[in-house]
Amino acid sequence: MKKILILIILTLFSQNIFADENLDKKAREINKKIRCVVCQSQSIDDSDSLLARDLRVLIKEKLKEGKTEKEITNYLVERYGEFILFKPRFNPNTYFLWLAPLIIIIFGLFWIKGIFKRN
Amino acid sequence: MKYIGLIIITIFIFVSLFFALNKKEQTLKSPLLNKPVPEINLNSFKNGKLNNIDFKKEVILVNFFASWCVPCIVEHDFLFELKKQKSIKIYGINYKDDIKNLKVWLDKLGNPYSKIGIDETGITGINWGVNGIPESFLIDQNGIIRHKINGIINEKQIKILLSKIKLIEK
Repeated sequence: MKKILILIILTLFSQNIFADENLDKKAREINKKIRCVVCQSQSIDDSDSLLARDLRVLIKEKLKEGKTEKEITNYLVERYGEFILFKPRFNPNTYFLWLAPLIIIIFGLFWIKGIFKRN
Repeated sequence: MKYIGLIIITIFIFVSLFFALNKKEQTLKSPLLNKPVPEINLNSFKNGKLNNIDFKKEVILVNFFASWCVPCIVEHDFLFELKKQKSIKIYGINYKDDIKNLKVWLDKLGNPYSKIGIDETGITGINWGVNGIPESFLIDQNGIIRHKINGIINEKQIKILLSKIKLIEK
């Protein structure tokens, strides 16, 4: 009976550890995508600034509350703008940012084609 | 004529770079501008609370500060100067500070704030999109954020604030 009880406690305990590990892993995944707005080109995962530390705590808390990655990033973008994301999302505010290289390439190809034609 | 496209692109790149690098203020506009004040529910420095109910009916300046913040000392005199020039309520949000230090700081420099909310964890700072302190927000009578100042309020910022307040009160 004693052995079974110990086994049950151990199982519950290990499940808790795994849940915590998963949460940490997920939090770090998100942290790596969030820019430290007060540092130069660092994610909040790399930065040791006061704000980065607070944001790391906040992200973990929100995950504990059951919030999804999308909900967390939306919350941060609403407050700090798209700039806080290392990879800006594709939306009306960033259409130009995402499409400009493609437009330039297309423009360049037509231009080169024009040169070849003339020659 | 052959290289006209190349010339136009080169000029465009240089003009863009010139304007981008010549910008005096490198800070980005807050996405909270023209939106209602974010959720706030803080214990007040003396007693009571500072929460969203406090942002109705009048123009208010919210100033995030701390006793450990050196630029905040410079800014402090300008807050008094602003109050001298315009009767306006200033709410202070004491950001990640020690209450004892805050008390010493206020006793020494004076208290320009109508209310001080204690943001012990910095969560309210994040909720308001604060990057670093000091930072200030001008809130209109309807609880909408009309202007944000990153960094200290100085003579130049007072002038800008006064013109913004004038526009809001029209």
